[in-house]
Amino acid sequence: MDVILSNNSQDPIYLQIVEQIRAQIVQGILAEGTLLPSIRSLAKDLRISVITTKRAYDELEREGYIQTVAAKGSYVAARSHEQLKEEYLRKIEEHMRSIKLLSDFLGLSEEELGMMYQLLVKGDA
Amino acid sequence: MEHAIACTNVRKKLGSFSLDLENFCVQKGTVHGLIGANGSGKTTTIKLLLGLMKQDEGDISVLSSSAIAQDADTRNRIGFIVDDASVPSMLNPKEMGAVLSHVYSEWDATAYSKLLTQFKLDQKKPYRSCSRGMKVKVLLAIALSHKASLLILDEPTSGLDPLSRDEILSLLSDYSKDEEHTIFITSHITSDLEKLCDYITVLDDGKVRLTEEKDALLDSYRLVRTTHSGLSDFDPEAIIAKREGEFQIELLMHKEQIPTFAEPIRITLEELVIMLAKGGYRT
Repeated sequence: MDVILSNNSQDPIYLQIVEQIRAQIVQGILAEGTLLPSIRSLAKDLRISVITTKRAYDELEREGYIQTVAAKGSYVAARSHEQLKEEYLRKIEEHMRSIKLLSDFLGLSEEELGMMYQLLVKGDA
Repeated sequence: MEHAIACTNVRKKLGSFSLDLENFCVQKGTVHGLIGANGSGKTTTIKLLLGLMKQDEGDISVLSSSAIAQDADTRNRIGFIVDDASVPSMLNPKEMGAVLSHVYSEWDATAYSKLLTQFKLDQKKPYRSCSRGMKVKVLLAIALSHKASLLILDEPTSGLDPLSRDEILSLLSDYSKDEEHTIFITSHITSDLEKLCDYITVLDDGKVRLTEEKDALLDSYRLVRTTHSGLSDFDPEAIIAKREGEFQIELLMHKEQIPTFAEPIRITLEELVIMLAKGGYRT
């Protein structure tokens, strides 16, 4: 498992950890059933507080990506259809943000964008 | 036991100086750092916790013991480093180990020997002939060799070169990996505390100005740089503190209150403490 914290990111530290671990789980780098490092050893390694790593793991557990077993640690959980769907929706939203940035730059209207999408759909059909 | 250390309504007057610890706690299993200027009450706090001084009012509980000065059992479980440590300074580390094996019920001679070797200490050199750095390493080796569950350290890394500090921090970090271990540490070297601590308390003129979880503290504030003419673009209520230079002004603000045109810059613990002091500890 890799976690690199960025000094340049405006995101709170616990969130950076959540996003990086989540991404590795989604990409399959962290396979189902993998035992994650303890919150204490992760905290010491990254030189952050144990409260922060605990917060990150709690969030990942809330989102269903990991499961904590008392006295054993946290494991990568099996993912449900709901979660996979959410992941894809998140990806689509990210792409939409990029599209909006580009089209704002060009000054494209929503209609023009819509037409582009229609053409794409027709072209694929 | 949830709190390794708890001070309730503690007051100690020393001449014109008064230390007030209304509700100060150190949670078990955490590393808690105390920052404060010289004369702010750091050493007085340490002395009260170790039972070297008695408070005028209030209750102090250390590892669930409310009378640490009389409680030898609990003192056995506390490792400490304080300045002018009352160690017999004509002894060398090896002799100290022999003496201490009779003082501490859980003295671990093997661990002590290992640490002395790891620190590359001359075991035959009398303590008083050692450099400052070596003295601290001896004290730390002692503190880590009697199965202590609480370390109380008063400026353990001051006066040490960066490599030695890193070595000591690394050891303290390893010590704190065990959830049964707690560290209470005071220091001027904010960068050390920034690396090691879970919680930070700022003490100023005998009063606690803030106690916060370290990452949340550093996540909530940002620095913003502007010019003298740009200053009026900012809401004065949102400016917690400012440092005015000739060519630029640095502002301390809460992350959420920064206007979109400004570039938020992450702040170090040192800068934060300085700016908060400049701003009169407005939060």
